[in-house]
Amino acid sequence: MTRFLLVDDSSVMRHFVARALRMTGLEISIDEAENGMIAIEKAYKIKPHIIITDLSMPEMSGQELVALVHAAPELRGTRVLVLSADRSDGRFDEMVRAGAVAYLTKPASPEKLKNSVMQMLTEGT
Amino acid sequence: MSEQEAGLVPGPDVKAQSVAVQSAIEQILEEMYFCEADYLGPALMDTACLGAVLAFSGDLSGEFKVAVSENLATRMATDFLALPYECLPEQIEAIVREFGNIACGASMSAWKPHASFHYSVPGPLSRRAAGVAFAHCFSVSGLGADLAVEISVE
Repeated sequence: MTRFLLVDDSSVMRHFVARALRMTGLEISIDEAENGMIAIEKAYKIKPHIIITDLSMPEMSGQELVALVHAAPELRGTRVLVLSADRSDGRFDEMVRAGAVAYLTKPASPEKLKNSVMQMLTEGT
Repeated sequence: MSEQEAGLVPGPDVKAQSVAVQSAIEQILEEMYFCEADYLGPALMDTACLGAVLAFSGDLSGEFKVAVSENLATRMATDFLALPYECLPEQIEAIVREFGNIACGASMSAWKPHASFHYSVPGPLSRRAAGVAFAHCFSVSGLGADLAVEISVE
């Protein structure tokens, strides 16, 4: 069972990503959080294999979440995919330096999302 | 004074913005909302609309607005969520805000590829503010403008 944690303040975006994950055909569990603060609490509890997070969120941003996950020894097995509409110059490098494994920009079709996740799972084994 | 300097002919930056917005919106509609649009240029959104607005700051500061006709917003929500039942009004509003979020990031980076921006969380645009003339209008239905974008730089 592959555990996912979806982090986005937009519930409709979480729904869209969850739908793409179900297309993988894998046996999965999906938890959701609407900001980084809630996400880090859930991450300690469920130890997700993959966190898919937005960047711009209230309370705690995706960037702070990435750094916290990267720094937590208990979450060593958790890999983070950033999914954001922010394509600003240098943002990708910034997120990778913070500890993200992949950065996917919106718009991202369900197919593109599915392929990114499958690639992360393959590389993580 | 040339016609361009007098504002009678769009300058290169205005043309670049049009090209950027057009390519960004077409890509978003195709990849996430599974539809296509014709670019109309400046036009009046004279139908009932929902809208979203974001502030951007960084190398440029200003506001990014989108307006979507109620009919198109309903269709976009249905396709985006792939629900077997009719979408709720709050889901349709959330879809328009998310569309604004994605459209803003994609359009700004296509227009100013080497710039760095920070974006606010998208908020709703009042119906009155949505029903006006926009610089970049699109037709998805083929029956006039039903989607629009405006970028205001401070």
